[in-house]
Amino acid sequence: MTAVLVGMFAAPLLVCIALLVGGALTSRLDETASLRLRALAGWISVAGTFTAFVLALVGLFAVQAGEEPALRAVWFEVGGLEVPFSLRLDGLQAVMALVVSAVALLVHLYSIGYMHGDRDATVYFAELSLFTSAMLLLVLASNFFLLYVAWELVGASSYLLISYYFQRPEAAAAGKKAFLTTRVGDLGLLVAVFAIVSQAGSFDYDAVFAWAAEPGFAGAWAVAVPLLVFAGAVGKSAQFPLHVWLPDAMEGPTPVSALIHAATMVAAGVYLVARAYPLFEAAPISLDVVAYVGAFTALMAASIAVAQSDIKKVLAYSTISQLGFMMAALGAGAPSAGIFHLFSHAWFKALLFLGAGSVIHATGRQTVARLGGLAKRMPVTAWTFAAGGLALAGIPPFAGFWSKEEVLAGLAVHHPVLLGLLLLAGFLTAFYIARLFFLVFFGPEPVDAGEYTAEGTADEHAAAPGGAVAEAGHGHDAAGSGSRGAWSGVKESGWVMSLPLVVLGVASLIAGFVGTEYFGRPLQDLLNLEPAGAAAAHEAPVWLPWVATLAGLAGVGGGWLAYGRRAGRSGGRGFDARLEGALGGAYGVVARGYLVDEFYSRVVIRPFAAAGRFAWRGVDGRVIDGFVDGLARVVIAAGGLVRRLQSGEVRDYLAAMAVGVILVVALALGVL
Amino acid sequence: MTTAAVTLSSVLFAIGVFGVLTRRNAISLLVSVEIMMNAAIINLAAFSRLYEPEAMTGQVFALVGIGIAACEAAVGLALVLAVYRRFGSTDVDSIDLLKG
Repeated sequence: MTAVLVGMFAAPLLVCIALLVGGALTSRLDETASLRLRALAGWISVAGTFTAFVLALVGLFAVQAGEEPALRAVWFEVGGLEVPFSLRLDGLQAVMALVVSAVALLVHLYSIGYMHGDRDATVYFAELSLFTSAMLLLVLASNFFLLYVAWELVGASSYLLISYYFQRPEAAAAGKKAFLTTRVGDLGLLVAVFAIVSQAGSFDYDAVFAWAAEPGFAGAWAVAVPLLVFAGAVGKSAQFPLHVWLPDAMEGPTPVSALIHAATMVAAGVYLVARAYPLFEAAPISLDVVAYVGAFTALMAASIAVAQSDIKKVLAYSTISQLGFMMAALGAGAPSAGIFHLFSHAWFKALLFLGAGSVIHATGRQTVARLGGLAKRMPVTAWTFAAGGLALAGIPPFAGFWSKEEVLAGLAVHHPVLLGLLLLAGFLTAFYIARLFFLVFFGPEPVDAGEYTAEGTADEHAAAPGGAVAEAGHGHDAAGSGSRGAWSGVKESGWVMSLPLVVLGVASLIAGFVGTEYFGRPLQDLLNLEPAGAAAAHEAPVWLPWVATLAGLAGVGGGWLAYGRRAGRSGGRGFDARLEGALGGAYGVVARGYLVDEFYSRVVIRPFAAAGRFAWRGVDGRVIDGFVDGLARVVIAAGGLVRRLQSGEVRDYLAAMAVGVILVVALALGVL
Repeated sequence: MTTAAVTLSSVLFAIGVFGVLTRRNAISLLVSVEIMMNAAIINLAAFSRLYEPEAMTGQVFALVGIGIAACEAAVGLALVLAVYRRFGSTDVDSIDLLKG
């Protein structure tokens, strides 16, 4: 079984190394070989990810059969502290590994179509494989040190992929912002790891959890350690107040957004909290913090998503919101509900992103106002997007309904206020996804693209260097001609892009059943996360699923009324304008994410830059340079005084010598 | 006897020092240095005769010193010649390349 554990993260890693080395060699030696490698790179990395997926399945079945595959070796020792390299699979880890490898496999496959002809496709697939490997290592690790290493590795590969179109300043800045913002949380996790090893004396999960279960575990450590761990989760899972990086991360290629910034990496924070749950259980106040942060984030991000004008930004805020749902469930004492929602969310959110990517790929546009009426031209994308949207909205029997219901049930017992917040967030969720769906796939086709360009954000493909522009050429031709049939060249993408959509569409429909009582809740049994006294979580009021469904239906219905009903004639765009008119300035504030970015710019970034300038001009320029220059001036002045002694005249030297001799003789004779 | 020799030596040395400090011509400087050297050599012979009259140590050292003085004079004159060729003068006051 150890081969399964090692192979799972090693296969994509080997692919990454092979692609990098191969790409470097061929680009120097042989151009045709380099081009051939670029064309093959996608398939090579699909092979690597497929290996990981098969191994994850094998591991899952082994865990289900009662095995717990594990592997432990001493990595290195420092002054008596043993740092282990240890991997294992338990229920939680097996489920995560399956989700990660399955979504990664589909996204790799989809990327072959999406990145076709891109100049740096070899690098892209190498980075994507690196991410897959790091993410699987993060999931498989069974000690906090290795977890932290993998945690930073996924952060680094996320940075690389967000900044993939690094020739564009926005993409480079977004990568930097993502890296720096998550770093703030990572610092908390790092301190937590230090605290754990200094107090528990070991990195191993089992030893640490045993330490946390001791009756003496209380007081400052018991509260500080889980909160510091949660700080790491807040950064990675884009929870308030560190959520600002995720919308900007949409500068990366869309498949990357689907894999990293929707399905897997951002879920790592949720996984971390669930993994370290025994630490949180020891300090109930830390669980409350998790619950409140999660619920607040869920509602805030859902309201922002309603006012976004970019497909990917809507989905990004939606992701933040859904991660908030998961956190709220974890904080409310229902960790398996949180992981269940992570599980179903991974399928339908990856689906929504890949559907959005399909639209962007076909039209070269991603501003909602410049899209419309695509359902006829791209039926597969439209219907799978609808499946994902219904799952997100929580309409039965789609996956999102079952898991969201579990989340709400978990909150119902102890947190009625948060339950209300999440029901409202659920309504908004259904509303914004309905808005997105109707605006993009129904309504009139945009007749004159130029009319809308002023507000358009930079479209990913439009500015992408190299072949991607040619790939997305249809949309630009249409925009240029301004003719009536704006979408005349737009058609469904090839099978490599449609197949993942269909697979994920089916998953969005059926994935929720693994957590339902009709099938005996196999997911929860496998996870085995619930604390001892959590049976109460399932005693949620009977009316809850009905209310939740009603909220979802109301959201979808409202979205249809506002954006879909009169789609044939005026299009639904008018409603955004009416909403803006009704709300006035508040609409702009919401659309700009409650000005959190502006707040950080004022309160953190500008003072920090000012402090940096002070340190540069004030401290370095004045004090340090002043000291060094002053020292030099003193030496020069002293030299100016002393140089007069050197007359260069032989007789002066001789006279000095004579006086010296006389003095020495006088001293020797005792005269002086 | 010894007193006379030492007195002679002291007078010669003082003359040498005076010459070194006052003359401007490089050759005069060299001559003054020679005079100071000879004052030292007289001391060698005089004190040897005072303390160990039988041995000829001082006298032998005096001969060696005279040889060394000849060598020194040769080197000194060569230097003066080089200086003269370089500067067209042997006036030491006009040569102050090392002035700070």
